[in-house]
Amino acid sequence: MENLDLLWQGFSVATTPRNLGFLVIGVVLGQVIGALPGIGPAAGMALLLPFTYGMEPVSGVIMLAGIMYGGMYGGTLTSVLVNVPGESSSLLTAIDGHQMARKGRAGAALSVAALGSFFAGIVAAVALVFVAPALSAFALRFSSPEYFLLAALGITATASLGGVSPVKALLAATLGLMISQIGVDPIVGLPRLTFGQPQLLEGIEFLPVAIGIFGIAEVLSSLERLDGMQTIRTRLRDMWLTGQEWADSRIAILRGTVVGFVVGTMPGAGPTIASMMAYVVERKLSAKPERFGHGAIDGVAAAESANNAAAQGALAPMMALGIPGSSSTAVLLAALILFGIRPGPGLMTEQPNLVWGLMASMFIGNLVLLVINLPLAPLFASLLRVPYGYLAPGILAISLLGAWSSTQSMFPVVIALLFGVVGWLMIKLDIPRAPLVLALVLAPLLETSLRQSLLLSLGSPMIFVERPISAILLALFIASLVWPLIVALRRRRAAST
Amino acid sequence: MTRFAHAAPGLTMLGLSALMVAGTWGMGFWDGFTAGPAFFPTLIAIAGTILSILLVVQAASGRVDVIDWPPPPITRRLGLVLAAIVGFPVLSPVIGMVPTVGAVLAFVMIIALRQPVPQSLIAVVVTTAFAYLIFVRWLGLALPRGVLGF
Repeated sequence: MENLDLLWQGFSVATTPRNLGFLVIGVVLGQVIGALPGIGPAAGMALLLPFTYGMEPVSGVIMLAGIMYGGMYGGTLTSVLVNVPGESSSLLTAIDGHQMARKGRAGAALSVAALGSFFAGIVAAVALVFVAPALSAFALRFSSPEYFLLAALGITATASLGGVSPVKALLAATLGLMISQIGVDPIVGLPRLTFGQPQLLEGIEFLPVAIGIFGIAEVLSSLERLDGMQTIRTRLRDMWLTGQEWADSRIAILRGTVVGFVVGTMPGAGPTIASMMAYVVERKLSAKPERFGHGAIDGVAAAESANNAAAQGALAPMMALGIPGSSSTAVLLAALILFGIRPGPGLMTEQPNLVWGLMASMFIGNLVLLVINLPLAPLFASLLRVPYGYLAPGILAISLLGAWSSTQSMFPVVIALLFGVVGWLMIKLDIPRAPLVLALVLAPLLETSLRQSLLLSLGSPMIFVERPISAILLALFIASLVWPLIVALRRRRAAST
Repeated sequence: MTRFAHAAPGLTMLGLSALMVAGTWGMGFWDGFTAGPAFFPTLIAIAGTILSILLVVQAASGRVDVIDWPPPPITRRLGLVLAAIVGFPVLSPVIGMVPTVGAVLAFVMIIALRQPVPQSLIAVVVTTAFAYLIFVRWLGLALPRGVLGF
């Protein structure tokens, strides 16, 4: 009951005219960013993070979170109408959604995605109200060893659950850790890896790296496919679902929501993995699995419900533990740090207005997005007819201005450009970018808690085994490293037989 | 060539790992009974070295996917876009940041992406005005001014 009282208090924060205004701006921007091919919610949040400077932290976080889950809704438009996923978690929506559009059922695909996302968003917000405080209360028992292992697990889990080469994912995370070491040692205050350059004393800021690796890299990548994007038109009257379509999709929405939320709360998993898992589950349980890939509405429903539930589920470890579960929540965590707020289990008691205001805003935000995505879907779809050749340069210009505004100097602009090229090369070489960003955000916690743990134990590493919770986390950490190895060996054995 | 491209990140990271060790050399790995400033960077360098070797071995011996490098016309397009955005930090202190935004936008739209000139100019004006309103008027940032005075 206490949670519901706090949620009610959160509604009074979220519904102030200022916060409501920023919430609507956030979800609309998220919808637009999600709809634009080649720029995902994490990139959009990184680009728009400088716009929150000077804002009240609650307003800024509400707006950024709105961009995050608004992006999940917006990604559907491009996937269904253009067959280009607006962001990676809409990849599977593009497969069946676009097939439906080619059969004249684009409106139905958009409707089921909007309804599924709305249902999943509300259920995930309710679940978050109960899960996040419980997780936070449990995490109050944590000390340095647990934090070190939790942060380490957050990074390695990305590699083992990421679906790509674990070596590449871990190497990307290592690069993030390397970047984080530049600056001043956090314990003794000595300059480290600055090579005599005064600009490096402050370290490499998170924002220009995120702007480069997500924003600039994604725009460069999408400029390769500038030609030949054709949009299928849709009308309001096409948005109604038939009885059969609704019957086919309602259980898929329910299953997608559960799968999405559970996967979303796991560190490193995120909406893309969630939508893939929900799609696979739905295909396995379907009486007619052969329809999948050829316009199965339940495939669209499962994937879209799962990605929104996961986007919001990823907020649980971020708010309760200070461990981001996805690249979008990593940006949100960086925003909290920029606002001068210390993430971690104390967040819920130290910043109740922010935490509960954010949770309450998600109920309202999902409702606004349902309105945007049902009657207004054709209007937003018309945005896709603006040639990308005019949009992309604008995104690049905003990226560069955003990077400059982080410290009001040219150094971050150069960093953003450098990481733009690095990010583009990572896309080409199929190296995931999320582990790099997660590692960069988690590195200070990782190093400080490791060194504090060793200080507590007078240099003995046994501190990580002697404490029950840290022993469990250590086992999970080792499992997250060994699991991809087992999977790779199994694959190799299966391929040889 | 494809194998080398897949191994290149590993080789780069091998170099960066060596740089980590060299950059923290003499900073103290272990200080009495606890970790010193070089402790964590060294651990990262060790992890980087192991992973780099694994990646290079994988690229040299395993099956590698063909990399989807852009064809020459697209490479030229990307090169021009990159040249324009590299020009941003170079031109901003000289002609001012707002005019640089306009110049970069015009170059990318008209020269790099070959969009029609009239529509591009409208897009340049709208986007530059939007950037000015957000960054100067709303956020109150003092963007660098150049010889043009704005």
